[in-house]
Amino acid sequence: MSSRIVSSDILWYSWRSLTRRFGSNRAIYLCIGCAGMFVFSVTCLREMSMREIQEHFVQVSGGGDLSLLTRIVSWLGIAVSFLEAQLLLERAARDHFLEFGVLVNIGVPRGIVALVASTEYLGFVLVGGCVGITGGLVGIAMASLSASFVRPTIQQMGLASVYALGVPCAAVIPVGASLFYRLLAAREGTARAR
Amino acid sequence: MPDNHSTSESALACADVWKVFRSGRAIVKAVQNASLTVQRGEVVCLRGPSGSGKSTLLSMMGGLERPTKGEISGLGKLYSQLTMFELSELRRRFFGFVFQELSLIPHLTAAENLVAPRLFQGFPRKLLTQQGEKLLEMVGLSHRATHYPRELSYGERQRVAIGRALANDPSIVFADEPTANLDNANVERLARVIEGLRMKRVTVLMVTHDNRIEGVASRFFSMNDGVLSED
Repeated sequence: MSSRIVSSDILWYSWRSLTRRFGSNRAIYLCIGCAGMFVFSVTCLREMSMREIQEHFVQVSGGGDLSLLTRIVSWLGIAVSFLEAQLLLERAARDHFLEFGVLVNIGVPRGIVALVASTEYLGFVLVGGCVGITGGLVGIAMASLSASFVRPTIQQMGLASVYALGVPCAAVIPVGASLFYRLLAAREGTARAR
Repeated sequence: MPDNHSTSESALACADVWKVFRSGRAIVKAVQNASLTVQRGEVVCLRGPSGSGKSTLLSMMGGLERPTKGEISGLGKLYSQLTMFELSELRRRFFGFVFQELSLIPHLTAAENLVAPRLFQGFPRKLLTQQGEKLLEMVGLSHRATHYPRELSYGERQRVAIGRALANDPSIVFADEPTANLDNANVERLARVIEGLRMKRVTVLMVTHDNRIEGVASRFFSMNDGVLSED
């Protein structure tokens, strides 16, 4: 009997749990989506404020330079998005800890269980990120109805999408690592948490 | 890793095993100085009142928990000399578990739960499905293959958990109250399964209070306040 662990099986398992838990995970997708939308919008705004829209904003704000403000809000958004994603994933990891314990008990190594969970959570944040980007695009489309709106370029929206997806994805790394160490530390707890 | 057809007769052994839990200032001696040897193909029954340490001893024998003191070996391997990965592999390849709380994975169907010990090992999905269906037939749940644990009754979940313990063709089966939620017909079915395992020289270590299943056991041990004694 083979004892190797196969990555396609990990992906299958993660996909299975991601789709089967869709209902109970809607709140996670929405929260990450909202943060992603915020990051997307502010990144667009920041990029635009640095270029074409600068003059427009200067006029609107009565001569004030908005680039510093958008930069601060942008970094704030990134921090909030990261922390929020991490918080939600930590919570999910806590809720699913018993299930991870079962896998450990039936002989799946702890590192693999942490990897399985991380892959699944990467799926969470990708769905959340996509919700955020879609929300941002819808917002841009609606704002474009106004003649005074300066539409961001494709490049600017691309960069905003990278932030909206990449920031919550980065939150998976500490969650996966902390889960691994919790599973290690819970050698006895895991066995007893049947 | 041990060979399924090892010539060594002793499947499981523990010597002077202690398990002490500390909770604040309180010290609970769950298992005290337990020694036990189980031969290949034996069906051993652990009895005793609730909280006497039976499940803790079973967990330690199954490599799920480390003893505070003493040595445990399974299939000729001393657990204390195995790395965490090797111990996981031993459990995955040679041990089957029926847990008291059943512990099925909620987003896998009954058939998928049955083959859970074989997940992540690159077995073709079709083969796993076939094996799952075969095991379901064995535990009398063929009609429930695509049902999720929440759609099954407690007794049915118990039968899935029993089937899962046999999915990896184990050399040793550890069962904690395997008949807790089964009716007479299913206890008889389980007794036949255990008889079949005994014929195949599979070792069974079982914690139970149920005298309906005790007939299949070849030896009995009792635990009282963490102290193990042979009946």
